[in-house]
Amino acid sequence: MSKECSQPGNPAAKRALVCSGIWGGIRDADQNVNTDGLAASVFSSSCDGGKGGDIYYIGACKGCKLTRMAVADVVGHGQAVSDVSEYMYDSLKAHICDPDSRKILSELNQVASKQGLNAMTTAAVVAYSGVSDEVFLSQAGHPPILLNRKGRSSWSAVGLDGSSVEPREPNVGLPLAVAPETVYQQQVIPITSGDRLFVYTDGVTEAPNRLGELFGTRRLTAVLDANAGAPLPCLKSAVVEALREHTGNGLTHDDVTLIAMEVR
Amino acid sequence: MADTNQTERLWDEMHDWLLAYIRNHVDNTDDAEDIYQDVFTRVHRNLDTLKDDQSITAWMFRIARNAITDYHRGRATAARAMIRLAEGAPENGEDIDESDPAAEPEADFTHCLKAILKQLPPQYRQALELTELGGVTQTDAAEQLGLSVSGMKARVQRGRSMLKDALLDCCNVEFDRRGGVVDYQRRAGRDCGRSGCG
Repeated sequence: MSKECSQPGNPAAKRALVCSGIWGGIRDADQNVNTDGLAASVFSSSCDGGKGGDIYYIGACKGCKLTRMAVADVVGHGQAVSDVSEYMYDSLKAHICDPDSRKILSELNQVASKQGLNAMTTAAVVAYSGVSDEVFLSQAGHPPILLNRKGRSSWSAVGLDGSSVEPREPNVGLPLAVAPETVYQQQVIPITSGDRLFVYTDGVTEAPNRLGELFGTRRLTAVLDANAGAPLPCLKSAVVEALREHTGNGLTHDDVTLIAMEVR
Repeated sequence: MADTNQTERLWDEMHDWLLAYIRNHVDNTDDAEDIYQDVFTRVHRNLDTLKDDQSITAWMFRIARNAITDYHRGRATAARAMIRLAEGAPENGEDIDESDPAAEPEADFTHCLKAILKQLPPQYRQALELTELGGVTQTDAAEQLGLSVSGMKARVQRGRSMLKDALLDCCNVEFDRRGGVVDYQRRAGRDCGRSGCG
């Protein structure tokens, strides 16, 4: 493993600096991204090569010290993913300086609902405001967002009621394209420099071993706990390596996307 | 008591997207249908526990997610039991490590599974023995047996389904939250092979 903990096979992971604008998309990625407020390390791998069903974006509004991150997993593939990705980009761009993430999910839901079930999508949107030192979390049926407070060794899932919750039965809202009238919730929690968040698609927790046993939230948090103090790229790599070890293959079971973030 | 009309209305409203969601998380279409039925049963059984301020759609979605998790855990447990079987796990509880509270029921469960496996039609038993016990990939197994890969996958899936049905027909199996076998009992009047469970 290199100093930057790049993934084997992709040693040329580059650092990107996002001062303003939006970075991301649907292509495979193994990259570190810095904004004024956040450092992030991104890994995304599609199971069928190149362009899968996962979408990730990181956007920054320099003037208002807001960084937003979005991860989505579309049930369909091909055009459905491209469409949702495009709508997500447009919505992120339209609200780039507004910390309220519910608007983005609501807008996406309206559009996706017209596309049918092929556009059914789970999504998580996180906005960090460097003005108020808060994060705004909204989810649409997406796996729980994990939080690690600076100096602590344990990660825990954050429910939409703001409490740390057991992995089972957290409230994560409804996926997009299920019900046009859905009102998405948002949780606002105070956050300080050094605190970390981990957002991922279900290709992480639903990675099976040869017995069909899923990687699961417990294994994920165990790996994160064991690497809580590691640099972000190493934390990301530790999870990816654990996934590869668990599955015994090259992550061909599903699209896998994960983003580790730290407040700067 | 749950309102049957209310449940049926929910069923109609949620059928398409809930089934699509489950299918997206389960390889086997038949299993997805089974999980969907299971979700409906759980919803109907627990409708009275729904809190007034809770979104019923979101609540049903959570039940579906849990049912999917339970499905994968159950499959992994069966696979673990089959591997123990393949590695010569003790029969009739012999040589069980008594310090492991989970060992005895799981070893007996393996014994039960072995008896049931013998009762499957030869082509399905062979498919499971090759892939689940022998560790042969389905692609390689297809080549060995002169089948198409899709044909082999269908045979393995069908074999798994038959094994599961036969097992549940033979025994009441109780799993813990991690999918481990906590307890099982032979159903009254069932002949689960020469030395079946219970």
